[in-house]
Amino acid sequence: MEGLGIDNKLLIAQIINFVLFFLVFKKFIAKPFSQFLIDQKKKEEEKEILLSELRKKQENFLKEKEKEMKRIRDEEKKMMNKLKEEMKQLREKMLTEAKKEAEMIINKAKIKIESDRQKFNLEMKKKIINLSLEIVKQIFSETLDLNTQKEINKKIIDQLKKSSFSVN
Amino acid sequence: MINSRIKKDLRNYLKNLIEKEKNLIKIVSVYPLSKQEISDLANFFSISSAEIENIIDPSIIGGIVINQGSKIIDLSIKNRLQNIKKKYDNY
Repeated sequence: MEGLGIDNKLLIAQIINFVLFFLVFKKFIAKPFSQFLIDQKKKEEEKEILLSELRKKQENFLKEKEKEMKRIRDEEKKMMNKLKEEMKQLREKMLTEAKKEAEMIINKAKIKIESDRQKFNLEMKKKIINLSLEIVKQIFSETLDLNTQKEINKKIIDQLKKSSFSVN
Repeated sequence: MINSRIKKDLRNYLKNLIEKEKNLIKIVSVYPLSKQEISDLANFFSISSAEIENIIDPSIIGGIVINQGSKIIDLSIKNRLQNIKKKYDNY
């Protein structure tokens, strides 16, 4: 060994040194590091599980949210439709009532116009009759001379004689 | 107190007046009626001409109106026209 240039003592010391180093390394570095790695892996796995659960929860939540939103949208749509229908009915009702009222006003106005027209016609007729009568009176007063008056009276007296007329 | 004789006289006087008024015939005309016309009318009513009073009223336009007491016979043109007016008023 010495021929190879290897010092036995140094070799033994080196071996012992290596063994010691190995033991110390194993006990204080390799094991805790390995444990640390295992722990880290476990933590990673747990995190992964947690993350996946969270994702699932999030997905579920999103699904629920979507479902709820859809329900709300449907509800909103239904309400809007109902509201539209009610508005339409209300509008139709108001329109019908307005039409009825308008018809009533028109009928009343027609009746009033007809009544006014009849009243006016009657007034006009009376005026025409009165005016005609006045004209006739005026004409008679101006045209009936004494001879005509006498003729009229003669006819009246003749008619009285012919009739069975009496004041008694 | 009024004396009963005066009362009786007054009653008789009023009675005569009413009787006279009753027999008196008033005839309304536009112009004064001639004696002949009055005589004709007196004959018709079988009374004397003196019992006929002629009243002139141009408003009757023509014809005559005979009044005796509360009775009236309107034979005037004015009345004819009024009747025509009434007839048309009722239409």
